[in-house]
Amino acid sequence: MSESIIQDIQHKLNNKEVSCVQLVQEKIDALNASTKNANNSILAESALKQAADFDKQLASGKQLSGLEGIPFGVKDVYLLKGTISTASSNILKNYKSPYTATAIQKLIDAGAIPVSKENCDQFGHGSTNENSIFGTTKNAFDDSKVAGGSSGGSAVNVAQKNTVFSIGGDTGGSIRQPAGYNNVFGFKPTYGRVSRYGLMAYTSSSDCVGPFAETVKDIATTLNVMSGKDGKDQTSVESTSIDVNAFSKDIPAGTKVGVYKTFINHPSLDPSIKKEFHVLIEKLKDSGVTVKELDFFDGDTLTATYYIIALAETASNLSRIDGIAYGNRAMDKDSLASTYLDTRSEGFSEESKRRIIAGNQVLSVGYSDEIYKKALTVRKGIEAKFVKDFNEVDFILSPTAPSLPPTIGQSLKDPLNMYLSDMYTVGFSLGGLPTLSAPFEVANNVQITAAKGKDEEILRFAYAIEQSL
Amino acid sequence: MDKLEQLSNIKAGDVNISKITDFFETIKNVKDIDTLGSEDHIVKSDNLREDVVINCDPEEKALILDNFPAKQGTYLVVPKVIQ
Repeated sequence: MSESIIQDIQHKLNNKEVSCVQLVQEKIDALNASTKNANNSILAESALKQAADFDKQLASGKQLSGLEGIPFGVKDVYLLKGTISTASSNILKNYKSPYTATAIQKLIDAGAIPVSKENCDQFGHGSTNENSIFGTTKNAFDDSKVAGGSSGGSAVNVAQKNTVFSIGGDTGGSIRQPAGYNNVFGFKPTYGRVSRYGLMAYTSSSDCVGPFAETVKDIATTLNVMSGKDGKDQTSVESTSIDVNAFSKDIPAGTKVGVYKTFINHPSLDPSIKKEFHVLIEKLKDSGVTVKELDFFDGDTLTATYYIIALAETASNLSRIDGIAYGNRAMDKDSLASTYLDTRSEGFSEESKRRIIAGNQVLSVGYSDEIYKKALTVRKGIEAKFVKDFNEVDFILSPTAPSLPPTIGQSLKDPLNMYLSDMYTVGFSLGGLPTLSAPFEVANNVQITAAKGKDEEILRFAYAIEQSL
Repeated sequence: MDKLEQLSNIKAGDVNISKITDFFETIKNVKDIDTLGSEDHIVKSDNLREDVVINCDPEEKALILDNFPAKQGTYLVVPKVIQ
């Protein structure tokens, strides 16, 4: 396995083994031919035009660098100027982006070529990619199974090599879990490291922009480009660039890893995943890593805390979508009130309506103190526990999901089970921590988490595991 | 439910929220929360930009107008506010 698909492709472009137009055309053909339902729209015309420009530069003797000439996918919740950005919803199915999200613009400025707006759960509402007007995205390896979600299309495109990398969005596990279901790398950076400007908001206090890729180095390369303070997102922060060339194949001596007992001993954890996770832990011990078992909140508490906060925030965020200035409006209604009511009732899916209505309940009198504020206090408790834990260990390792990808249709019958399947990812989201979902040993990937701002440390550790195990 | 439908501007129809509101009981029952040492993960910044109008480029303006759901000639049509 190559250390960097991005570098390999650029090497071929610079050596004229393939032209950029040929490369992009191959990706577009593969995206069009894919039967996985991973793409809401394919950006053939603009992508081929950009590719032709790079071919001219190559013909004039220029060598490509950075992300120049690299085709990538964009989850359809990011604005990309002039393209239709639907959030996989009926209400925005004709919405044209008036501007481009900061993270996506930085990638384009670095020379990357967007080739697809990728299927996802509507407004990020789902963990299976079944909540989409474009239909269910199928798992990269099994058409009867879900791709995971909400960034299912992005994970499948990378797994099928139809994009070199893709940009997903992770609120409660929406990058890490589909990365696990499709066995690619998926990274949720520290909250604020990448600007959220131009990402359709789901839960603003947890929403993160992150990449899917086939190698750790490609995750680091794309993350470096997207990172940084943005005046258009007050929660964004400065960060230092990750030195990809300094990655070592050796696991640093003295590395300490924590494992949460409540995660490993949870009754819903599939025995095969548990066994594979233990095999990985034993291999790390053999490599000199110290492993410590830690106490933590139980999965039910984590899931409840996350969902209560997420419901409240999504009810607020989506209140702006009412069909007045944009979106599909229900026409010829008697009043403003009936226009709002019919527009939103026709425009949102059942799952999104459930979350908006329940979110308004969370925020209403009689519930806001007892439920919402209590959830915020529990979140503080979770954050405090992480601070203590990362005084004892460098990384926490955990499964990404308790079970293997469900069969298509199964979760629609039992949404509660779908919500509970997020139990291993949501805690790290509440803490704003960086977490990598990595295809090491475990069928659904393993999560590697570190303290806030330690994104580089995770990727260095993962690179060493990638090279040594 | 009527009040929630009003707050949400959504007709609930067959939407069942009971599965998700089960979480309310879980959170009520959480006890002994130790928040000592917690760090708010959201950076609070007072480094705000000047409160001035910045004109968007003509292409952006055209796209914003193009997204408007109803038009009559050069007028943008909004629902009737006063009966």
